Amino acid sequence: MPRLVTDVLIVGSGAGGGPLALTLARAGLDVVVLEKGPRLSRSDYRRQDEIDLREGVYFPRPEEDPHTVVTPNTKQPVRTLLGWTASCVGGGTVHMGSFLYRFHPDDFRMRSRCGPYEEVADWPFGYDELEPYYSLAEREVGLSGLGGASPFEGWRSEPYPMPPLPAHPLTTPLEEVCRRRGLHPFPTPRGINSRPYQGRPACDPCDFCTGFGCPSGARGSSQEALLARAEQTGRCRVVPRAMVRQITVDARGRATGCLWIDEAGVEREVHARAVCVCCSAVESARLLLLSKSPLFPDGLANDRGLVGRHLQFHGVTLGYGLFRRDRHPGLPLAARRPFLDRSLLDHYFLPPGVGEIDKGGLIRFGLPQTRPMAEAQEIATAGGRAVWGEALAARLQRHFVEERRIEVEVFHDFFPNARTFVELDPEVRDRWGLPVARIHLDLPSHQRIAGHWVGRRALEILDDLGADEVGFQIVGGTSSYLVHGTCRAGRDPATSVLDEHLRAHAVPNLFVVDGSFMPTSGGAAPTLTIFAASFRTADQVLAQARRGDF
Amino acid sequence: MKDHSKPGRRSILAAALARLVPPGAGPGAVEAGAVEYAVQRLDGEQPAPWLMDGLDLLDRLALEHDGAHFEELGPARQDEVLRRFEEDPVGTECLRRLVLLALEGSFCHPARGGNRHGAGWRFAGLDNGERSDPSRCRAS
Repeated sequence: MPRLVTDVLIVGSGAGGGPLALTLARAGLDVVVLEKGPRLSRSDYRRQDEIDLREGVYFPRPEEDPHTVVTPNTKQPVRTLLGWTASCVGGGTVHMGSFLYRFHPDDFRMRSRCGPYEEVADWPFGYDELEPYYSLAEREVGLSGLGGASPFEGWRSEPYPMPPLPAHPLTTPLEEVCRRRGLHPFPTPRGINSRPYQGRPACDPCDFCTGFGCPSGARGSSQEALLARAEQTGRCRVVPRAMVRQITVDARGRATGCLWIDEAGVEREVHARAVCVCCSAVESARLLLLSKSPLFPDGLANDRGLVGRHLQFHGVTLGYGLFRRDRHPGLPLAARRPFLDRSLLDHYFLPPGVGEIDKGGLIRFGLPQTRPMAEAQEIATAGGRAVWGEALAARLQRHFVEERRIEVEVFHDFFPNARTFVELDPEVRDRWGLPVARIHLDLPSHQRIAGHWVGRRALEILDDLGADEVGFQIVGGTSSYLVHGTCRAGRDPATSVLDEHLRAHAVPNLFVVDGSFMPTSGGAAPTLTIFAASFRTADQVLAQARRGDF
Repeated sequence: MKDHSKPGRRSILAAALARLVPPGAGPGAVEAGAVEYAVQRLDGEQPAPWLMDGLDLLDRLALEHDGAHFEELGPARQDEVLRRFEEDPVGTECLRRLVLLALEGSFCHPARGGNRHGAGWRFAGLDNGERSDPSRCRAS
């Protein structure tokens, strides 16, 4: 393979890389996308195999390419896949459930709204600036939803491109109990086609969804919705199994491309006029820290020591309501399809007195993720000693046949704090011999408070619905693969790595386009906001390219 | 390739799984093809010690208890031997792993050799993965 020369180098092919590739290639620029992981396809996704998932088919192998993590309670760092979104063409968007909410306008101005708390800062742009790009992202990825259904959401310039997916029959009683409490349930926006869209079919629901790749292409991803069209222009080359080990710079401090290692282990180069790093927050910070040069001895764009700081995951609280089918003949519990997709923004902010800061979370009701093998194994070993024979039969019968569950997921903020950050691990190396990312992790106390309070509101609703049992599985936990913050965007170069267009203050042709830029994580799932910010940055890159800036 | 299976080990494994994961605990290890799935673990260069030592112990307990090989006993007596097996430290761990393996073989993707004819998924209320076939999706 000869040395690659291109207009724009994009490192990483997930929610950050996809919009850039599509916008720039469509506009006539030449684009190279280097992706560390393999390229999978619909025929791979057709086999929806729990063992593949357990073995981490979409993720790197922890013995080869780990992160390490240390918390206040652990003495030694341990190898982990925490903070890996994925390693494959399309990134985390390949296996996500595609719950694609917008942020609330106040998510962009948490410091102004709530005052000082930990390392919370305002964003350098607001909902109004991003709104056209939310609409664009929804159109390009293909969202189904109902705009204006919640009085709490931000304004919209356009409706969703597709109406909501067909509703599970449980939706009706669920909405009724929500409304009786004065709440405002709305259809969960999904990046799933409710009708044929842009050459991809409508969803014909299969039993497997979240966690698995989509075999039909009905669920939009960076790969299906964006990169496929980028490649069709003939101006976008996606190279899988390409490990970028350093972003290169010249003596003037401008990015010039990268050094990378191909599948056979051979070192290669790309030369580019502009570089976009889109590896997700932990890996993007790591790549910058690895990219040392005389002008940037502590890592590219790390002249202020801020790269890797303000790492945020996402708050996650999970609960359930359990229903014995024979006790609820009036409830349509039997069907596992279609999706039960209702959400509540009513508790996005907390009443006074609950926590130090008034941020709550977003409630999502749904049916459990499909994992019969894992569920059966968990039931058999729940008590420590294995249950077997007729005793096992009774438990599996109860779980799979006699009972049904409605699940609750609360999305809530992980607040940036001085104790949570990324650095290069001084000891552990990946399979290419490069230092891995070491995550320092400490959860702000508000996370558990917000998760518990909002979670209890959700369980009350399941109680109203008549659940025989409700409970929590996780309260105030940390998502593994929603990662943000490590290259914070802001107006002041003294306190931020990137400007409002996600361009490095210190390197005028370098952009970091994924969750890294986010000063706060938002209460809603962040992926749509990453898509939107990437489309916005893509316009900026295009404008600069046309101006001759690079 | 060495044959670690020994004439007895395969039949001990099959008999044990039939009692550990009977019909009702999913389709049942035998019915779901989980026995064949598990037997694959006996083949190959290095079958795990937990499995070989465990099966040998189970058979030894049967011979001590009833004077017959495990697979020769009736189901009630097999259950008694299994109860003694799980009181042994080696036995309890082997039993736990056998249950996990049998459930894996009952509910895994059929292409892996278990979950025969999708019986496990049907038990779990799934649609046998048929809807995963994209040719069934409306494409226009």
